[in-house]
Amino acid sequence: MAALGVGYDLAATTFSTDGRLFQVEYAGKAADNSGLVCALRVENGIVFAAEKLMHSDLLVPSWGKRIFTINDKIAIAISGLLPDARQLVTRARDEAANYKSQYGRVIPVSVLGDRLSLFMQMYTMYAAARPFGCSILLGGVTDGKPELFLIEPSGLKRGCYGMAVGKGKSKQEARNKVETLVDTLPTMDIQRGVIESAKIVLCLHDEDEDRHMELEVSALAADMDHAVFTAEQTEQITNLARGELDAEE
Amino acid sequence: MMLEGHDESFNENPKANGEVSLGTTIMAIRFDHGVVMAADSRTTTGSFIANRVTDKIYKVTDNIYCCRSGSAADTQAISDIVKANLTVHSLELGQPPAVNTAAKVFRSMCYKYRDQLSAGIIVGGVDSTGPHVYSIPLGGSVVEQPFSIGGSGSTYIYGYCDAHYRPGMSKEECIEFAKSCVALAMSRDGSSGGLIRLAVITPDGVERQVVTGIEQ
Repeated sequence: MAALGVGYDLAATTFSTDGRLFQVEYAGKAADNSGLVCALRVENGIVFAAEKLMHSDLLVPSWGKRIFTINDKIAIAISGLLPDARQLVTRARDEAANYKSQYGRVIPVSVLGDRLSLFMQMYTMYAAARPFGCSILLGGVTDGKPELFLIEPSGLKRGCYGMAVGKGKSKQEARNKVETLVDTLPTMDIQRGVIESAKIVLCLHDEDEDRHMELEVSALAADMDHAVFTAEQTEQITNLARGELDAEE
Repeated sequence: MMLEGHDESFNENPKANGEVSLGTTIMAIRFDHGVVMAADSRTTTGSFIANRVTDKIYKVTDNIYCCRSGSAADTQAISDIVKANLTVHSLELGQPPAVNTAAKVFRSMCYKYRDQLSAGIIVGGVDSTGPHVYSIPLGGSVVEQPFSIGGSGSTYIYGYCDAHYRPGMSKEECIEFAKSCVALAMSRDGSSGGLIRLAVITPDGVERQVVTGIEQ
């Protein structure tokens, strides 16, 4: 696979002979290079769960946030190069605030998604800049209805019932697990969604490879502003999720 | 300079002493499921009537109209820009814009360029939350009202409107009320005259009417 890219992968402005942009594809690999993050679109809201890999005991627990509030009803969970993703979070916050100021209404999630995907796409067209090395899970509620999107470094935006992004093998397994839930998601409530997404992240965490992890969970709904759960709440969720995982075995 | 219903004092740079009287008589009234917009049809250049059949009720989107008073050039320019802006906005949104969005976009222009503009606008329309009327006078403030009157002719009918407006009037009552208000203003204000033009906006669409001659 690597040999095919020789010569055509030096700049984002070069297509390969079979019509691919290798730099953008490599950016996609960078986007998967972090702990697992999973999001589910449930009946009246969105739940996010992220695996924060704490590489050192010197780091404080609140370090390395991966879920960010854009406004009361919209949030973003990030995967890949976290500094790149924080740039996108800032951009998303600005877009949402300016839209509200200009048009007097909360930005619909899919409109914000379009703005962000156009922004990310722009960086795939110039030799002087590199693509974003991160993927974002953008979820929120618009007019009472929840919407979830995955936006990749190429700028491709896809609407999802549920999605997971992260390290190679666990990404595919996580997506398989989300697929088993797809039929139940439209009638699932927030509490159940939180437990299910936590279960997916906890179950696929590789104890041997990345020993120390922190779970970051959050939710938003038509009647609930976005909030990342506190340490105490996260512990309760972890215990409930682990309990169910143990029972399933 | 083409001015809609202006009197002579405008030509003597009234902005220097803060006195700008908007020409025209315009109004909008909200009823239970729609809005009636009404306006006279006189455009003046000094004391010369440049257009005696002007349409001062401008379509911003299918569901939102605005009444224009003040400088004809200014209000036309602003309305065109807002219309273009809202067209793109509603394509992105996937549905017709809200009336408060239109008012917000009008306001942002009227406020930002307040020192260069002379524009008094009444925005009226129907969206998914119902009918709304917003008044955006000189200076760029916005206020939502059950009914709004504007232009130089409006000063002569404040008392009449206050005495005769009742909340909960039907569509037909609102249309008759609008016609009589504008007619009375036109009969006293030299800068207002010609026809009475109406636009009745409901969720089913927009009906335009014209009243020739002055009733009452």
